[in-house]
Amino acid sequence: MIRLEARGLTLAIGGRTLCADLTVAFAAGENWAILGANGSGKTSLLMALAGLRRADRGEVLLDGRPLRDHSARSRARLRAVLFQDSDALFPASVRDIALSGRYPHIPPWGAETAADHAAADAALAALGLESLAARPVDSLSGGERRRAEIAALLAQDTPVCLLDEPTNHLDLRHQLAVMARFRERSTRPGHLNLSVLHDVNLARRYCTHALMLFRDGAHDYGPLSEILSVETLARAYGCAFERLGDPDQPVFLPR
Amino acid sequence: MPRPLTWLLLALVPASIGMALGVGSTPLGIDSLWRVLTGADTGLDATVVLELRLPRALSAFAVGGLLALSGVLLQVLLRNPLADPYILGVSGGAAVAALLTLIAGLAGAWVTGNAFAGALASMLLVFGLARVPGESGTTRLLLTGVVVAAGWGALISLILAVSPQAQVHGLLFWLLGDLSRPAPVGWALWALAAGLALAFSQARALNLLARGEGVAASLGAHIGRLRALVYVLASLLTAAAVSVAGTIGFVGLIVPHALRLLGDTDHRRLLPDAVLAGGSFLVIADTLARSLLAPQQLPVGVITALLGVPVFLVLLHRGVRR
Repeated sequence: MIRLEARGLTLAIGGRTLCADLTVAFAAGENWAILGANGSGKTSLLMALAGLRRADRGEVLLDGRPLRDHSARSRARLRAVLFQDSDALFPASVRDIALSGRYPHIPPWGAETAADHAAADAALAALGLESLAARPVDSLSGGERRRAEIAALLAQDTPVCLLDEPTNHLDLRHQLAVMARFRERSTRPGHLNLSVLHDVNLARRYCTHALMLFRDGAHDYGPLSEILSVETLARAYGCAFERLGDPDQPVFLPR
Repeated sequence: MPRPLTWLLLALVPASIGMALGVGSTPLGIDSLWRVLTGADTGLDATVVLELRLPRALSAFAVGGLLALSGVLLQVLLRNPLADPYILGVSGGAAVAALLTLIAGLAGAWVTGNAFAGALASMLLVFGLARVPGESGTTRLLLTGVVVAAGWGALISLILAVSPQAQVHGLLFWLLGDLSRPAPVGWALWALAAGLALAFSQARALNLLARGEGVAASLGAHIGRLRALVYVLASLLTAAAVSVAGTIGFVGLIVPHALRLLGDTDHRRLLPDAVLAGGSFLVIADTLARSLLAPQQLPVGVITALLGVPVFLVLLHRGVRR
C-alpha cells in the first residue's frame, strides 16, 4: 500500500535546486533512509513531504490525496515529524513533552483522556525515561532531551514517521535502540518511516530502502542494497569509500 | 493533581482586596469591613469603601490581570523571555494619544478613550508593517514592534520637553501608571474575563508553540491563525490596561516568569494563574503606593518594580540552584 508519494517534486532554495523532478512512492512496510551531503536538501525534502514546506513544483500525496486536501489535524494523525533540533522556549516537563504528541488526537475543546496518558507513559517507558518524567527538559542532557522529543513522536502514534536525524545527540546504545524501535514500527500494518541519516552504516543495518540526494538536484532511490555502493557514496559525499566485511552485511568506511 | 499554587493564588485575591479596602486614611478592621460589605453599615466608612477603595482595588486587579495575561501571550508569540506587554509599541501609541489629550486639557473618559484608540492605531501599524506573506515573521514582528515603540518613545520625550512646566508632573504620573483616576472598572473586568476565556481556548496550542513553531505546525496547530489571534488579543489586553491605568511596568514581565519558575509550564494553568497573581500583585502594589507616604501618592509602577525585583531575583536564584 502506497502511503506517501512525491510527484514531480522540485525544491529550490536561494536559486539552487535541491531536488529536481522527484517522483517516488513510499509504501507501507518500508523503512527509508534519506542520505546526502550537508546542504543537499535532505531536511527540505523531509519538510516538503511532511507538508511543512511549499514545493516549488510538483506535489506530495498522503494516502492518495494531495497534502493540501488534508486538514492540518488529519495530517497530524497520519504523519509525525521529528525535527533536527529542538528550539523549545520555556522548559516543560518530560511528561508534558510526551503528552503534547497526543494533540491531534484530542478534540479542540477536550482534554487528555486516560488513554492519552497511557500512550504518553508507554512512550516514555519505551525510551527509558520513566524516572525522568517529572523533570523539566532543561535539566536534562542533550541525549535525554532528544529521547523526550522521540517519546512525543511515539505518543503521537502515526502510521508515517518522518525523522530528521533521529540519532542526533544519542549515545551508541540509544542510537541502536531508537533505530530498532522504528524498524519494528515499520513492520506494523500500514506503517512507514523515512529517516534522514548521516551514518551510512546505521542506514545499511536498519533500513530497507534509500533515497540519495546529490548536490546538483539529481537523486537515486530504491531498495537499499541496490543504492548503497562505494560509487554512489563517493558521488554523494565527495570522498572515496571502501566496502568491508561480510558481502551481505557490508560496512562502508570513508578512506 | 492537586494544585497548591492555584489555591494559594485564589486565596490571595480576597486577601489582597481586603487589604486594599481596609488600608487608608481611615483604617478599617475586618469587622468594620464586614459590616460595610453586608450593608449593615451605611455611614461614611461605607462611602469610602464602596465608592473609593473598592472600584480602585477592582480596577487594579483588572489591570494587573490584563498585563500578566498579555505578558504570557507575547512571550510565547515572540519566543522571547524579555517580551512584556509594552514591547511592541501598543503602550507607546496609547501614551502619545493620552498625553496629547491631557495637554489639550481634557480628562476622564477622553483620556481613556483616546489612549485606547492610540493603542489600536499602533497595533494596526505594527501588524501592517510586519506582515510578509509566506514568512514566519517572529523576528520581523519583534523588530518592527520594538522600532515603532522607540518612535513613540521619542514622541513622548518630545511632548514632555515642550509641555508647560505645570503639566509635566501630571503627564509623568500617567506614564508611570496611575490608578487614582476614575476608571471604567466593569468594562476592564469584562475585558479581562473575555481575554482569559479566549486565551484559554488556545492554551494547548500555546503549549505546542512554546515547543517550537515547526513542532506546533507538525502536530496540527494552525500557526498563522494562532499567531494573528495571539497578537491581536495581547494587543487589545494591553490597550485596555494602558487606557485604564497608564503604563504600569514590570507586572507583565515578571508575573509570567515567576509562575513558570514555580512550575507552571502548561498554559492551561499558567493563563488563569497569571490573571490571579498579576491582579493580586497590582492590588497590593497600589495599596502600598497610596498608603506608604500618605497623603502623598506614589506612582504604582515604582512599587511594582521595587516589590517585583527582589521577589523575582529570589525565585530565579532558587531555580538556578535546582
